Formats: sequence, C-alpha cells, structure tokens
Amino acid sequence: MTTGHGRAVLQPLTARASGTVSAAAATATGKAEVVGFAPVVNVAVPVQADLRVRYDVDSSSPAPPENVERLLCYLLPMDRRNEILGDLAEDYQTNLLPKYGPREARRMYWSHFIRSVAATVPPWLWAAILGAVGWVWSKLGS
Amino acid sequence: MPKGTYLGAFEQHVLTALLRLRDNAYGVTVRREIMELTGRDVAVGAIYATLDRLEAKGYVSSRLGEATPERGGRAKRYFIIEAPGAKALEESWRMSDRMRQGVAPAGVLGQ
Repeated sequence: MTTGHGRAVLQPLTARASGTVSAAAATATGKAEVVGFAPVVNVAVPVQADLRVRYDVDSSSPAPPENVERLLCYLLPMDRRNEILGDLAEDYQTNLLPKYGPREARRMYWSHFIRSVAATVPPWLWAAILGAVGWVWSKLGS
Repeated sequence: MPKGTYLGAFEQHVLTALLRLRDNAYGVTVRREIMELTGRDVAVGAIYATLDRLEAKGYVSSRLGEATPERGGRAKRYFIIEAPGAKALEESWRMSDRMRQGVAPAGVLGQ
C-alpha cells in the first residue's frame, strides 16, 4: 500500500476510519500508520490499479464529491476507469476549483462526470437501461 | 480513401490535438486543446471513447504515465498518433479541401 509516487489530497479507505496517515511514516515503514489528525493534503496515496480512494466530502474540502464518484464510477469502462477518474480529479483541482470556487466547481464536476459516463456507456446498454425503465414505468401505470 | 478509414469530425479534432500536444497528450490536455480550438465543451469520457476506437484501428497508441497528487494518485495515459493515423488525418484534410473547392457558404448566406 505504500508504492505511491507522492503526496495527494486523497487518502486510502483503510486509513480513513481512525484518522489520517503521515506520508513520511507510511513511506518509511512500508505500512500505514495512524499518527493523528493531520491535513488531508499530507497523505500519501498508493498508486494501484483499482485502488479505491476516499474523498473528503466536507464542503470546505478541495476534493471532488465522493458520493458521485462512488455511485457512477462502476458505469465507466473498467480498463479506462482510473484514467478518466484521474482526469476528472485533475481538472477539478487545477481548473474548476481555482476558477469557480468549491460550490460551482462541485456542480461542474457533477455535470462533467455524468457526461463522461454517458459518453462511455455503449448504446446497447443505454437501450437496455431505457427499456427497463420503460417497462417499470408501464407496470406502475397499469 | 478505403472504406472504414474515414475519420469523423470529432476524430479529426482528437487526432489534431494529439499532433499539437506531441508528448503531452492525455485526457485533460486533449480536452483543453479541443475546447480552446473549437469552443466545444467536450466530456473527457467522449475523448476516451474516441481514442479507444482510434487505438483499435491502430491510429494511436498509448502508454501509462506518472501519477500526480491532483489526480488522486491515478496515473495518466498518454496517447501518440501513429503513422496510419497521421495518414488518415492527412487524407481527411485533403478530402475536405477537395469538397470545398469552388464553393463558398457566403453565397448562400447572401454575403
């Protein structure tokens, strides 16, 4: 869990419950070590293919909305999921947040996320989803 | 141009962005380049869907790059245009040039 390339604004799920992880301690000892409550920006993030990271959802946090990502990331193609989520996070941190502030940036992140999911879902899956929704709708109406 | 090698407008935009960005072409920079040059707000998911299609045709290739803090520790995927992609792009441009020879929208617009 400590093969990361640097520091990040995100923290691993494992460290979340009991506090935050010191980047220096984590990289030196080879395992996560809870050393107290430090700013989230001081956390080392392991670089791993399918690592689930958890965002701070506090309104003052610079991190993207966690619940959105968790809910919708499984619709993204598995082989491109990390790259797309990384691009969305980078755009949020380097472009949206400084330009628009937390509130508007989060709204734009939402919008961009949904459009990205919509663009990558294959047409047959859209057809299946719409068909299922239509079927449920017709059953509720009758 | 053989059937199946025709590039759509968005595919041309993406390949042109790769040409311009050279070694720094990944999702964020490609999106930014397209937005700046065309004024179109495109989703990064749409760019990846197009790049995947182009990669399947052998027009582009990709490699994993470094992870950065602002990406939440997630690696970038860099894309470069390959020779068949460059050839297809050039042919698409030539085709557009041939199509517009001798015509001008200004006539229809009454200018």
